[in-house]
Amino acid sequence: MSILQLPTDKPQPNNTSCCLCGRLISKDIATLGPCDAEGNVTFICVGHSKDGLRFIVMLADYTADERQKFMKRHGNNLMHDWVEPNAELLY
Amino acid sequence: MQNYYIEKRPMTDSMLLSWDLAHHIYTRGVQGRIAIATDKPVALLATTRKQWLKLIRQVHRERASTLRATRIMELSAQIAWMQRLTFSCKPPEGAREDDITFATAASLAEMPPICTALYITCSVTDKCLSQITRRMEKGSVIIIYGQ
Repeated sequence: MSILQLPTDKPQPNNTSCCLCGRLISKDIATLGPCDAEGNVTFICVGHSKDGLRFIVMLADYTADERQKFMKRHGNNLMHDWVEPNAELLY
Repeated sequence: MQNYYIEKRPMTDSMLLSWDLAHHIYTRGVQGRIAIATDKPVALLATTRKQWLKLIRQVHRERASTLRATRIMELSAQIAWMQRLTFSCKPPEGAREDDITFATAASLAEMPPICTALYITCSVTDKCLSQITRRMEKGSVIIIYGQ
C-alpha cells in the first residue's frame, strides 16, 4: 500500500504519522484513514487493519476523541456559531 | 487528477479483494458516496457485502465486550452507520442514489458518479479514469488496486 499522491493544496511531507499509534511512517507504507476533527484525511499504518478486533477498538477511540475535539471547539453548541454539522462527527 | 488523494493497493494471491474493500471502507468511516469500478459488479457486490456483514458482527462483539461509555457510544454509532449503508450495482437514476455503487468502468465513464471515494479494481486507461472522476469533488480519494 502506498500513497501515490496528495492534493496539490495540501502539505506534501515525505513522512507522516499514523493517526492511531502516532508512529512516523513513510507514504510507501501508509494507507488512507478516517478524517480528523478538522476534516483532513489522516493516514494509518497498513498493519493496523490486519489486527482485527484491536483495530476496531483503536479506530473507535480515535473517532470518539476527534468527535469530542470538534464539539469542544464549538463550545458544544453548533447552533451558537452557526456551524454546519460535519456529518462524519455527529451521531 | 491533481486534486485527489491517490492510493495504490497491491493485490496478492492470498488477498481477498472483497475483504480489503470492506475493511478500507470501514476504516475511512462516514465519507459520502462510494463508487467501485470492477469487471464483475454483481459478484463483487455479493462478496463485499458478505465481508461487510462479518465486520458488523465483529463491531457488535467489541461493543458487547467493553464497559467504557465513550467507546460503546462510538461503536453503536458505527454499527448504525454500517447497517444503514446501501449497496447497489445499478447506475444511479434520478433521486435514487445508493451509498456504494458497483459498476463497470465503462458505465461509470458514461455516467460519472458524484462520490468522495472511488475504488478501481480493474484495469482502466487514463482517459477513462479522467472521465470517471469528472464530477468528483476536490480532496476526494481514489484507490487503485493492481499488481
